[in-house]
Parts: sequence; C-alpha cells; structure tokens
Amino acid sequence: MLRALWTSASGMEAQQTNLDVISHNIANVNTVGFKRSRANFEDLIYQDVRDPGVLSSTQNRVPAGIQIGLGVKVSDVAKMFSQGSLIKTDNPLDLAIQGDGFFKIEMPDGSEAFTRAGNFQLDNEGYIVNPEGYRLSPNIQISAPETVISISVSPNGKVVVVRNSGGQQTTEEVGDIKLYRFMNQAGLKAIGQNLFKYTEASGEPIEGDPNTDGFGKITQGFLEASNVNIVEEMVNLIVAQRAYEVNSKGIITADEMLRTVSTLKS
Amino acid sequence: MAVNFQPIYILASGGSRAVDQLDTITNNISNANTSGFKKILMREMSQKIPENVGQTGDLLVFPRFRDTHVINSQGTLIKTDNPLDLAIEGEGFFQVETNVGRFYTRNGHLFINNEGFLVDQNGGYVLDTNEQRIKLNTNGRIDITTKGEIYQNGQLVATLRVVNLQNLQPVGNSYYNGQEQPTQKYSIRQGFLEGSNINIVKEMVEMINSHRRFDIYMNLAKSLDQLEGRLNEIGKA
Repeated sequence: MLRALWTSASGMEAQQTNLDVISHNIANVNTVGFKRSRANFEDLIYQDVRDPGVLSSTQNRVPAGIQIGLGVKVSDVAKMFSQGSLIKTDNPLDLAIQGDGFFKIEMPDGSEAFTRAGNFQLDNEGYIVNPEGYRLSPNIQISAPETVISISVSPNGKVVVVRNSGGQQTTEEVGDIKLYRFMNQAGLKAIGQNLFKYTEASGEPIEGDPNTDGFGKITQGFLEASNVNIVEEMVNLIVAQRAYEVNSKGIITADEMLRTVSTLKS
Repeated sequence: MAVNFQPIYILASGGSRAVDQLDTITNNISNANTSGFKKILMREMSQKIPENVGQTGDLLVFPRFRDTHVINSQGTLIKTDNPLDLAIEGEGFFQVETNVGRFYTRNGHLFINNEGFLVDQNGGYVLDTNEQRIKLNTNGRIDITTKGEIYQNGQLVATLRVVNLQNLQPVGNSYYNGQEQPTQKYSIRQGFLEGSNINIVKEMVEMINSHRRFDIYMNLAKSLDQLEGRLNEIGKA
C-alpha cells in the first residue's frame, strides 16, 4: 500500500491532538491561574531508499541519498508558564503571584500539589484552603474568625490579622506563605483543578520566601488570570483545521491512485 | 509476443516515481506545523539503458529517482513568548548530543532538565561552542543574545554552538546530519520558534501533479494492454 496513506493519517492524527490542546486552552480562558499548553511536533523516522555515498557504478558515488519520511508525531504538549494578567478582586484571600513560584496545597491523601491559582478561602476551622477545601501548606490557621477585622498578606508572604477583642484592636502574625519552584517547570504534571504535581522531569520542589531569591511577590486582593490569548488560540485553531484538511487530501489522492491501479486490469 | 512490452515497464516505473513523489509530498504536508522542519524535494533523472537495444533502439529511457534534497530556506517565525524557545534567523543549526550520537536541529524548543542542563524536546543535550553540555542555574531569568550567548543574572553562562550544514540528511525527530561549516550569518531570536518552510499551496499543486501523472501512466499502460487484447482477437480464427 502507499506510504502516503499512513503519512497523511499521521498528519491528521497530530492535528487532532493539536485541536484537543487548543480547545482545552480556549475552554480555560477564564480559569484562574491556568497556564496554556502548546502541542509541538517533530518528523518521524525516514526510510532510506538509498544511502548517500553508495557506489552508483564502479567509480561513482551518489552524492545524496533518497530518504522518504513517514510523517509526523506530537513530540510534547508543553505548558507555557508565562505570567497571566492580574485581576483586581479586593477579596483579602485572593492572592496572585507576580513572578516565579507556586503555592503548595495539601491533598486529601496527604500528598503535595502546586498551583498558581490564589483564590483562597477560610474553612470552618479557620484554615486557609483552596476552593476544593484542600489546605494551603505550610498550614495557616486563623483562630476565632469572628473577632477578625482584616487579614493582610504582605508581598513577602507574611499573613497578619487585625482583631477586635473586647473593644481593643490587636495585630497578630499567623504565619508565612512559602512559594515553590522547580528546575524544569515544563516537567510538571497537570492533574486538573488548577493543580500540578512534580515529576522526575521537573525535579523536586525548591522552597523559598516570596519576593526573595528570584521568587515572585504575592499581591493581595488580586487573582492571576489565565495566560490564554484568545486571538492566538483562534489563529492556531484555523491553522490546525486547514492542516487537517490538507492532510485528508493526501489520503484521498492516495486512495484514488489505488483505485486507478485496481481498475488497471479490466 | 506481438506487442513490445518495454513501454509498459517504463510506464510502471514512472507510476512508481509518482507514488514516491506523493509519499514525499504527504510527508511535507504532515509536517507543515513541525518546528524547524525543512521541505524535502524529490529529484528525478532519466536513465538510458544502452544494453537494452530491443526493437526501438537505444531510445528507451527510464524515469529514476536521483535523490531527496532538503530545501534549507528560512521558515516563518512564530512568537511563543517562552524564554526557552529559540529560532535561528539566517543560516545555521544547533548541535545536540543524544545517546545515539550528535545531530543538528533548527527546532529550538528547549527545556532545562531536572539536573539543570539545557536539553531539547527529546532530552538531547544542547552543546555550547566548546561542544560541552550547558548547565544553568535554578533561578534567575535566562537571556539569550542574537549571537547565542546565554546570560543568567547578568552572567555569561555559555554560548550556543551554531554551525551551518551542507548535504543535509533528515534523520527524524527534527534532527539532521550533514557536513559542518562555520557560519556567522545567523541571529537567534528568543521567545520564537521557527515554523516549517512548507508552502502548502505549492505542496497541493505538487500533489495534484503527482496524481495526474500517475493517472496518465496508468491509462497508457491500460491502453497498451487493450491493444494487446485486440491483437489476440485478430489471431482468433
């Protein structure tokens, strides 16, 4: 059968994956802390019909070989960790990271996950939790929430509450928010719910204080929007669709050639 | 045999070339979105068979494959804003060390691996001008100049090795082989990837061309076969 059939099929398959990635990005255009992905491709192996440098006659060597490529594959779907824009919410527990770093979240099974989504809340015990109710790690507990007038988070992660107890205002430091980063951010594994897990490819998390050693600073009252650029995604969508179409024409052509062969002997 | 079958064989080999042409074109098309991919052109030649004197003399000429040629023209630059996406504008290839040897690539979609080395998407190590692996720090932004000098926190860490190649051979996985040649005619763009240099319109035209060409050969072969059939009918009593 014609190589072109499978080559074109590999092209269609790659574009399908591309479309999946783009539509996932578009679907998350308003997701807090979401990082867009990009599908990358590379060519498949080549069939050496004739190696370069072989003898074409007793004296002559062919200067170049004949190599027929067998199509394309998706090499990786890489997350782009560029900064998303900040949206003002005025909610004291909405925290955005400006720069590098992730918040650490304690999963219900005891494992760790990392996120850029800083839409935190207080749970019934006064712990700072994410919208799923998973605690921020290291844990920060604000006791007696009914006496709290305000919560402030400084750019370097210090959480301070102002209380009104018995008509007297007191300030109390309740904890430090730490940030984490990785040797290779692109190696993080997205597990949904805006969370990432570290892998062997990303390396172990490196802990640090916000606004020091290259870690980003924490901005209170803001959320980091997704870094999806909808115009770019729409353009990518058009490119993917056209590429899919053209690849399908390759299959049609190969099929028609085979039909010609099959009607050769009438 | 009444009919000379030589033309049928020539047409068959022509049809086979048209199929090879389609294979090459579909490979180009399927890689239309592959970073750093270079168009492959199938070149043909004719081969005279002097020993094959036959009834029609020395005139018989077979179409033949000559080689596949890599068209090394500049691809379009695509903005990605990823600091580790590098595109080469002008001549040249990055050198990459893999566990099966050293290759060259124009696909500058790079990463820092868990040990801090600069690697490509297949995990191959990108080499500097001393042909050494490039180790980067865990923190601090990476700035790469147009000449390939990698700066981190204001310090020069390494310079990317960029060489031009002659007699390009595609290897797959975005890699190429060839003969190294020094070059200065390049400029590295950080935050961009080089798209493939496929012109989809040309490829579509070439695809139609190979298709029609194939049809012509096959129709002619069919006509020759029918001619032979007629001769058999004449021979019938």
